[in-house]
Amino acid sequence: MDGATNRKARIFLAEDNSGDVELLRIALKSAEVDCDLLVVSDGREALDFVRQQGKYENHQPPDLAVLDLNLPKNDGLEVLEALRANSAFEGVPVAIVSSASAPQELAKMLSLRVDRFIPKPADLDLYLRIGTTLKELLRTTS
Amino acid sequence: MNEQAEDRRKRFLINFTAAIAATAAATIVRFAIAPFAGPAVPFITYFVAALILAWYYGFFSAVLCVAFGSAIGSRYFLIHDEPGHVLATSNDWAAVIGFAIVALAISLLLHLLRTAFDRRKATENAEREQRRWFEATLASIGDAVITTDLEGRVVHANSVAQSLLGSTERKMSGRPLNEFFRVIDEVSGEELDSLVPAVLKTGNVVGLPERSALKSTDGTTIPIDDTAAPIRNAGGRITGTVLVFRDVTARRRAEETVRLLASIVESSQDAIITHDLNGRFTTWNQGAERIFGYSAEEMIGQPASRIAKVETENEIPEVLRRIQAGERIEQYLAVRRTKSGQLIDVSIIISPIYDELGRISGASKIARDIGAQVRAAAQLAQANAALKSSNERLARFNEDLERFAFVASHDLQEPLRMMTVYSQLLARSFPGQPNGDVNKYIDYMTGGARRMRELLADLLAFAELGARGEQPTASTDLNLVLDKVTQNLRASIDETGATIRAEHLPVVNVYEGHFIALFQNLISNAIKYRGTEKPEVRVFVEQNTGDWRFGVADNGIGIEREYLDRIFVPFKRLHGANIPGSGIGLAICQRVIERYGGRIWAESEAGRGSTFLFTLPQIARTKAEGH
Repeated sequence: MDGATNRKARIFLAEDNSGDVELLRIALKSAEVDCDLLVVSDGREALDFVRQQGKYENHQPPDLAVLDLNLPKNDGLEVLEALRANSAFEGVPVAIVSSASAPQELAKMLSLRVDRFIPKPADLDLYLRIGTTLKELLRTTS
Repeated sequence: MNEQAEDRRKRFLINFTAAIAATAAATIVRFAIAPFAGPAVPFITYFVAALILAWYYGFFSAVLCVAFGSAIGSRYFLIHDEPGHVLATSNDWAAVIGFAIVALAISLLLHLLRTAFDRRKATENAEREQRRWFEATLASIGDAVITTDLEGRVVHANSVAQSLLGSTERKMSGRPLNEFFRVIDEVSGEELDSLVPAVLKTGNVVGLPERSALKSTDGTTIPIDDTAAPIRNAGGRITGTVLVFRDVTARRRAEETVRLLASIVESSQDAIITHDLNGRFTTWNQGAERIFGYSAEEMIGQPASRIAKVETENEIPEVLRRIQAGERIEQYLAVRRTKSGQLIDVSIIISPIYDELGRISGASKIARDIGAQVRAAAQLAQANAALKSSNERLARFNEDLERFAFVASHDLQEPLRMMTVYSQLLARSFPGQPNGDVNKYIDYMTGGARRMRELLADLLAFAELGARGEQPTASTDLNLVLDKVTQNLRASIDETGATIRAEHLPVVNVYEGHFIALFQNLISNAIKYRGTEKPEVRVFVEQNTGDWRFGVADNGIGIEREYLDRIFVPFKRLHGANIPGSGIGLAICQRVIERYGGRIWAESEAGRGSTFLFTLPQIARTKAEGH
């Protein structure tokens, strides 16, 4: 793909906590990632997006998906599973940004292939570093 | 009749012929001796002939011979001077008549003698015959038989008697029976009177009482059954006694067995009853009376349905059918009705009864009242159900608790994380703010949030230790554990200049994480609660029989004696906010140690340092089975 850096990256974010959404925006900004952030705040809507159905029927797959595991309605693992089942999303890197989870959740998550798992940090510097990590993910796949 | 007549006629002819022949022979002999005898003894040969005939052929032949002899002798041998004159003189007549009378008289005498002789001989023969028969009979009798004479002396003893008495007939014969045959009362051991005098005195058949025993010469006793009877001759006179006796050991034993079985049946707590093929009771023991309330008199002859529960009466024909097929019914559980109308649970074993020809003649039933068992089983089931439901409640409660711990650690952490990060963001948004108070306030916020996070983390660790976990199978080297703990505490060790000395520690079968938490809590406490001197921590271990005993000793501020047993209580703290802590560290230590079956306690005095001691069973070293 030519002129990749000129095009705005499209990042899909499933996160219900607006505080985290704001922090991620700040992190991406501080990492100088020029992107359009599509945010959904519950699992149901996230499922519609990754299945390309309902109001997301005509949406193209994003360049990067960032999922929280603890989502209202349907949880993040279901969203991840549906994403992997949709061949249109093949090649879309997935980063899980979530608070520490139960072992069985982590095991399932790993079996569904994720590109990064990032525990939500309780420190601002560590949080800002997430922006850099996501930037690297975008670069390796574009 | 004809035969007898024929016989008589034959004998008459023989006697007659013999008389003629003897007379003829006597005549010939008289002529032969005439030259020597002359006129003397004219009838001598007839006399001899008559006597011989009388002995061998009877009086009748002798009479004939005397008659002919008188006639022939008078004619030829009673000779006088004048020939041709027969019986000429009175002397001649006297001679003839005298001969006849004497000859007839002696003949008659001989005849009578002969008759008597013959009769006696016949009697003797008959007696001998009878005796032979008697002996043969005695020998063939299976019982012991002894005969005695009137004085009680042994006459005969058959082979059975000989072997029972341990003697021979030859030895016993003619000896008093008492010498060989002594009978005692089996119970008292007293000698019993001989039966022989009683028989001889009364002339009746006499028997020994029950429980009599033969005492043999070697002192052993044989239970016997004995009957004595008189022997009478043809005239009905008693000539002796006969004793018939037998060894009843086997019979006595069989009787004892029968008695024993009967007493077992009677004393059994179980109902032991029998009924015929019509389903009518034939026997009913005391156990049956006890269980069902009916007596034997009430039940014998009654149908088995008397004790069946109304709804189950139709079981009985089915049971009868199976019994008639020769089937044995094991552990048949049924409900029966007692006399008082109460329904009881019984376990029954039913077996067919066979008669002596091997045909099924009825059924025996052994019934046991299993009411108590049934009640106990019901109670047990109830208790199990209660236990199960309380276990389920407990399991649910544990799940809730674990869930709570999870919620506490994660969901409560989330808002704290937000507070922390945004307060940091806030501080950074006012760089170089002249009013230092803002930064101070932000520091309080972040400090409070951090303390809260630490508290929650400790609480989670404590809750997770309570959850039942599997025993570890891997060994953990406690020296490596201590290295990691020292590493984790590096900052505070360096800051306070603490020294940590440890003996060589064993390898034990525990989870590494548990012992990292344990040692880290103990050692960080030792540093945290230091005195004025630099902290010195000493870790030591000794091996006792069955367990390890570890110690962590410090030179810190110590613990007042009265608080020693409170320090392991969760969230219990002895110090205020000047020394930070959640109050959960020692509670975690206690949970770790108790999980492995050990014990933890502290020895201390204020101002003299503290020593925390804990034990660990050595079983945990090799293979931990259960806790």
